[in-house]
Amino acid sequence: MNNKQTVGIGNLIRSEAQRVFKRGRTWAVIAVYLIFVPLECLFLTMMNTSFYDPDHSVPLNSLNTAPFLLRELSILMNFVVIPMLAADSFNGDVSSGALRLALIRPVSRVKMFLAKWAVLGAAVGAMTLFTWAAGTVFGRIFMPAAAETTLMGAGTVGGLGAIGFGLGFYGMAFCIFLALIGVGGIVSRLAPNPVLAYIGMLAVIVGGIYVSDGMAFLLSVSDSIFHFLGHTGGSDAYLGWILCALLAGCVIMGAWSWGRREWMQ
Amino acid sequence: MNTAERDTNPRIVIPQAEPVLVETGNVTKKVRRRALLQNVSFTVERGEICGLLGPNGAGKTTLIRAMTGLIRPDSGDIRIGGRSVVREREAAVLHVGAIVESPIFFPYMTGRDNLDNLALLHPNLPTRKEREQRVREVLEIVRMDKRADERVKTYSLGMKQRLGIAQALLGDPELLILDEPANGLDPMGIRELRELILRLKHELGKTVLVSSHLLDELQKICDRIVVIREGEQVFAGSREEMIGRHSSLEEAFVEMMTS
Repeated sequence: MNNKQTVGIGNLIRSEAQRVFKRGRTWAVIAVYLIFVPLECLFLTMMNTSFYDPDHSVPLNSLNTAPFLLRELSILMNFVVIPMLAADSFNGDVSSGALRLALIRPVSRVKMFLAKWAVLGAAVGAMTLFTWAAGTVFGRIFMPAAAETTLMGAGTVGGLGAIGFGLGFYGMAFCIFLALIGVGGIVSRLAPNPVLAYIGMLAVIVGGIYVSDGMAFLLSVSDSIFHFLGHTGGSDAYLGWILCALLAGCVIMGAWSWGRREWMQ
Repeated sequence: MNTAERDTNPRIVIPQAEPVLVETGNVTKKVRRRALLQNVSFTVERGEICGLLGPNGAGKTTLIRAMTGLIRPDSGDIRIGGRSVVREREAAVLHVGAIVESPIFFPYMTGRDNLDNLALLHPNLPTRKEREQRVREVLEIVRMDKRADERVKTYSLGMKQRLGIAQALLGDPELLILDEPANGLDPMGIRELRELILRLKHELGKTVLVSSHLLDELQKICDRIVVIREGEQVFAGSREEMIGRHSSLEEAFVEMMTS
């Protein structure tokens, strides 16, 4: 054994990842999501039409399907996948008392909080990337072929432009998911058990729109991203800034809270 | 080694020349105006086994939580190996292994998985090979190597206690803090635990702080005793001093609690 005094961030993340992925519930949530991906693809094939928002429909084709697949799946992501994973990760082991075994070790609690966020972010990021890949491939194979398509904010684009738009759309969605994980970290800090943490997150998602229209993106992810990318004005015009503020706020509050917290469980 | 040298050289963690390993000074902790600990001050020297005694709700677990950095005292300080748990927690607990309250593990993992996972959080075990070797060693020390690959939720309380000691030993700590480690153990288990603690002291040179209600056991193993009642320290001294004119530790303890 050597005399190193700090735990490497790699080992910290590995430790957190082991805890997340050894839980049966994590795999159950991922499995449910993965089952819904082909089901939603099938749904899009049957409908052949989707919506930018409740007022603007769009016929689907081989180039524009990927963003609209996430439109269908983001509800599942925001209401089931992220709240369940975040409640388990940020609250489950804390309220059971098991995390005490990690907390008594010479590890920074702030880094521990950030490692939890990073691991969930990576998991959700992988699912988002998979959805983009599935939507893109599915669109090319099963939707009506098109040489170019018109996308809100991007105008008429060809194959490469559509892929770029899709990546931008999914990138924004990933940022929203990251922010929601951060919100989960804060809510879980306040809730006494994972069930209440889960309910608390749903309350923030739904209640956000009563606080400000600018928070509507937590409820209607795709509408807000389409409006933001389409420069349609309104509260979604500030989505980028609101996301930056929310992410920064969650980092600061989460790090402060985990650094100062008294661990009585 | 002087203090200045120690403070400027990060690789030197515990100055071996100093006999005192643990020093608590006027530790006070209040929750909603109720004092859980009040001016608790004692020392533990290297190589000693120190018993922490007190009735239920006396503040033993609160003190252990403060010593492991889970909670912060409102005033006073706890120094381990010369490092303040309050101001430099990570450095202070670097050479501490602990069971706090009952050992609760990650139930969805096996015993070995739990240890592998926690070993990742020890800076002195940076490589996989070192971690795997250390996990094997501590499982052998507590004689859990045969059942290590079963899920923790299938373990008896006694097995969980032994696995608890194994996780406390992971970082090869100089100080072991064991909160009620005999809970749930049968008489043979208690005897094995006693032999294990004595082995840790004599063969591995560990310092042990152990809280327990089993006064007979503490009388057999402890060099030093600290007694807490309603958050206040009522005794700190050697086992012989505590027993004094009484015939046993139990008799002395009962008189202390009823006087």
